[in-house]
Amino acid sequence: MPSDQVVFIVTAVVLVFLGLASMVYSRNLIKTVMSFQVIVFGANLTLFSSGMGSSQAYMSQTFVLFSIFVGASVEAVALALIVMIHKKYGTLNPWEIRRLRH
Amino acid sequence: MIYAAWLVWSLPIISVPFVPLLGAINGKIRNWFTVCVSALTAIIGLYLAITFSSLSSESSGLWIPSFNLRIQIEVDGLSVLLSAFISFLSFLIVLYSIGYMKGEKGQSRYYSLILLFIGSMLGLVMAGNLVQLYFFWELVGICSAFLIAFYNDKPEARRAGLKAFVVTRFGDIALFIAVLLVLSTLGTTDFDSLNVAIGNHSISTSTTELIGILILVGAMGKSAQVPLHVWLPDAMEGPTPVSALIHAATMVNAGVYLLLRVFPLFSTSELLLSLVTAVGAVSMVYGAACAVVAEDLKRILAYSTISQLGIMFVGIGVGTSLGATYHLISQGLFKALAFLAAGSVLHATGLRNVEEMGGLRRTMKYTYIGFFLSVLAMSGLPPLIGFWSKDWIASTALTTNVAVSVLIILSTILTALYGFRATFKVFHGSSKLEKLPVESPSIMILPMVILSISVVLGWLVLDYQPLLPLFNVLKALDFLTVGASLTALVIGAGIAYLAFQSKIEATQRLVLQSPLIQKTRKSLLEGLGFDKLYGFLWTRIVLPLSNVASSLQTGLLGINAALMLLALLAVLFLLASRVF
Repeated sequence: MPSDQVVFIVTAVVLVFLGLASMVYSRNLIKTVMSFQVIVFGANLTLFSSGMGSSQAYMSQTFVLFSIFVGASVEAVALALIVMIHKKYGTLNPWEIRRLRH
Repeated sequence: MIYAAWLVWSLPIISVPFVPLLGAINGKIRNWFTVCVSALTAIIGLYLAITFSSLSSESSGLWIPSFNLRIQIEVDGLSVLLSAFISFLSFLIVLYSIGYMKGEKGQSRYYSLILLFIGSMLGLVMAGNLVQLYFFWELVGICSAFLIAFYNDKPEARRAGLKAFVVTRFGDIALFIAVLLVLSTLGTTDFDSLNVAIGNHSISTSTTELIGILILVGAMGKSAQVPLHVWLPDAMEGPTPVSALIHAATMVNAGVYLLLRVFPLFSTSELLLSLVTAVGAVSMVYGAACAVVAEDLKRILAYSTISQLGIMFVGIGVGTSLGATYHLISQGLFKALAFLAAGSVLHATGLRNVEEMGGLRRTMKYTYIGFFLSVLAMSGLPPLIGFWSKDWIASTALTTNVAVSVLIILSTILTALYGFRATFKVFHGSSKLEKLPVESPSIMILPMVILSISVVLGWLVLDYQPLLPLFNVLKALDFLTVGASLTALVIGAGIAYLAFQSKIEATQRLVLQSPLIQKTRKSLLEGLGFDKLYGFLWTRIVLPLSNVASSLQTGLLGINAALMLLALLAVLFLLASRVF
């Protein structure tokens, strides 16, 4: 394993953990979406680094491009949902939105 | 390449998406489109059966390369005969549906599911390997569950659909394990190499028996054999054409077909054959006994199906796979006829309880004749089609296992009893209705007339194809069995005549005086408590477990994310302890 690949993977793991941790603590759905994106970036980084040093690095790069597109559209849908939630509940705190539970 | 063998199952499946599309334009076009597709399928099926000369198996390119799996079709006497039979019967039932479903809502859903149901059953029959068969097996199960729950604003219907799905799942899991076992021991699942491997003993006996038992459990689930039969009596919540399709052409025949398809595997082991016989014999007597007391007309027919399928299992168990094939076809014909007639009664009166009807014979002549012919065929009156198949199985059973033969005769008494009881209660006697209903429209009569003719003359038609010539049947029949089953028929019909036609008051007095009869009647009405037992297991074991599982899910994002974080940390910790 090339040493810069290790750097990439460690960074990716740190990103995923940071994203999850901020998702645990966030009291605002917009922040939740941001932390979700951080997790996706971590995953993309792993995917990107997995092709390093191989003759077919372009494969993983192509997949990362796809993943970025998908991530962007997921984010757009999530933000649209947040707008709807704010219209309906008047709050963005996920701890206060409990209608699905009851 | 035999195009007809590919087309017969892919045509209905391909046409499924067009049904709702046409339905958006015009309901009538959609209905007749469905009829045309099923008629075309029936023509292709019959053409295939007529032109069939030698068995062959064909495969496409690789489907799933890592399993070395191809889409295969198996063209032999059995699959050709059954696909012709299934497509013919389905066409008649679809035609009947046009009249029966008139004015119901959700018809696009109904017709597209029906086409998918027919197509997947034909695909199951034509499948050349176990994985493909399993694929269509699941499709058939899903379609039947949705169709049983067709009236989805009725809670009983939704419950019955769910029940059919869950109960058959037990069998499906067993079949799935069997498919995996075959795949891992042989590396391939196509029927030809399976039969070759069985023939030269390249699978050990214990593996063969394990595979056989698992396949048997799968077949029991689909074919509603005791103790996995509980879904079938409830399945009548669906529309009556669906019941006819499930009971006669598609769903329940899948299990018997599977056993017939892997019959070489079963015939190598005495243990497997006797297990099949035992399952069949128990279901045969159980179904017939429950049908005698049932009060719902469709429930009587459902229990009757369990009993008739039991006879097919017995046929396979005593080694006459051809007899079982014949009975599959004759049961399909007379049961479809019985259901169409019952549907006609239901359509005209809106009633299902036989106690509330009576005297319908005067106004519903065609329905009456159809139902009565079906009852006669069911109880084995020569030369109707049921006689040849049932007595073939009974005669073969006499040479291998006398006790089973006696049980078949006993169930014949019960069959005649419940069949004639239903006929007398619904069509004879004085009417308990205020006004006698009028006969159903001619589009519902026509399929019944065609089916009546095929019940009476079907044995002549079957003589013209290579698998079940009349000569073989006559060779297998023996006079002792035929005489005994005819006597049984007369006894059963006689008891029914006395009890439900000429001496009704005396029978009621007898039932009131004897606590034993009342007790038996009550426990048979409950189906000997299988439902109660399963309900008990459900509320005491499954529901508490599911409550525990659902209380783990809080639905709060923060908590879920925290759990994910913890799990990731645990994985990292494990990896780190591995490395250092």
